[in-house]
Amino acid sequence: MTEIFTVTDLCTRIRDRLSGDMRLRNLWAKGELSNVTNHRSGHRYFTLKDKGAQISCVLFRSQALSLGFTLEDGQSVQVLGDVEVYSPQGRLQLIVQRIRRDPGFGQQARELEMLKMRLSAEGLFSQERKRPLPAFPQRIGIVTSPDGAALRDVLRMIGCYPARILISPAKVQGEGAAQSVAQALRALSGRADLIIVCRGGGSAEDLVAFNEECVARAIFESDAPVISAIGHETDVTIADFVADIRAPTPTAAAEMAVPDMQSVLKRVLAAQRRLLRAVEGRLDHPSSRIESLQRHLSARRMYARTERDRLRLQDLNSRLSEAGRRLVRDKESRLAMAEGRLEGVSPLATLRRGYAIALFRGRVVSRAAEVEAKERIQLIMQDGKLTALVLDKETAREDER
Amino acid sequence: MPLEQALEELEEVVAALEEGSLTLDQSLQLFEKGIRLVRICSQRIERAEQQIEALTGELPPDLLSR
Repeated sequence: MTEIFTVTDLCTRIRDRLSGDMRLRNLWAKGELSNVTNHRSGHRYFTLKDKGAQISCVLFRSQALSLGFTLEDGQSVQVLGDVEVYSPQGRLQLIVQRIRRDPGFGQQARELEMLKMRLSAEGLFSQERKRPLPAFPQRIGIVTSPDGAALRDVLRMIGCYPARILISPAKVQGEGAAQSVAQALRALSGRADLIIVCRGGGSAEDLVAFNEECVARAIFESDAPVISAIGHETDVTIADFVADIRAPTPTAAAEMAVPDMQSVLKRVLAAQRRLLRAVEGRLDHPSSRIESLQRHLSARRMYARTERDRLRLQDLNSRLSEAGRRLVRDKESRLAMAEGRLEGVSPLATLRRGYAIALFRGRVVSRAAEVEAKERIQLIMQDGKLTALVLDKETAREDER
Repeated sequence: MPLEQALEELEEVVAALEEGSLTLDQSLQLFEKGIRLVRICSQRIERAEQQIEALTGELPPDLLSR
């Protein structure tokens, strides 16, 4: 019968196998430091990596004391140690006894620095190239992993903003991630007026794709402005340098991308109020037909008019009504009469321009509210009078919500 | 009409009306236009709908059910 291991037995067996291999004991290995953690206990934990692989390492307190230099991410080092299996996590690790700095110090960091310099010289990071973001994007492209929290953060922040959201899925870490991101960016060409490239936080290795040249070039060549939000606020990648704007987090990127709908709604409501106010001012008062008064009675002043203004307007209103009545009474000499009486206010000039004065039971009608449907009203024209039947009525106020 | 354009036109209309140098006819025409634009903007905001789609592959179901 096949032997069935417990997990503990399995790990023990692997450990025994490894510890029996003298080639895995007392060996020297070289690589670059990352995720250096100085534990409270005095132990140091870090990852030793090169382009293709990484291994967890631990340097116990007693050896750490005699280290002679500070461990930092990106340093190239050579370590002496034994390979072990750490059973509780089923993990392979290197128990380090000695560390010395590698003469080829920080190869990866130096390569990154050189790439930065080259791209910078080519103008990929140039401030002049940075494009402004559209105020109201209608097609928002998102390049990220469809399964990541970053995408959900972005969608949540975009909220109810009305836009077409095009998700261009990409592999954001691991083998082929850089090519996948570049490809996803190119796929949005001509389809978006704003692009967000994002991924959540991770270790420096998780973000390496965003330091690759092909991603930088794809961002640079994008026909829409690009907002980058890679990792945490403290992580800055080459992609962030090339992007038109860098956001500290995916949520912040989305916030930059779309206007706040509450403030847009406020703008609309404010415009609506001003609209009604401006027109109310004109429709409320017969005097609004008198050009000389228009200058003094801007919509705003009318709204906050003083009692004095109100009385003055009442007076003008009654004078105009009186003028209207006279026009009706004296058909023969109505033009001459009106000209004589209304000198200074000159509604006739207004009549000649094509306006009419509406009368209802002998009084000037200045508001739709004063007349009901099916009532008869008189319209004083420049050369006569029309009797009209009110078919329907609609007041401006009905539009106010 | 996109929200942005409606909003800009609305604000131009309001400014023209407030400026007050128009004839009554012109004012009324502008007012009607303004009210129409307010409706357009409000509808765009209230009935705002996101259309989420993926360029390649399937989206996780929780994104589509939003």
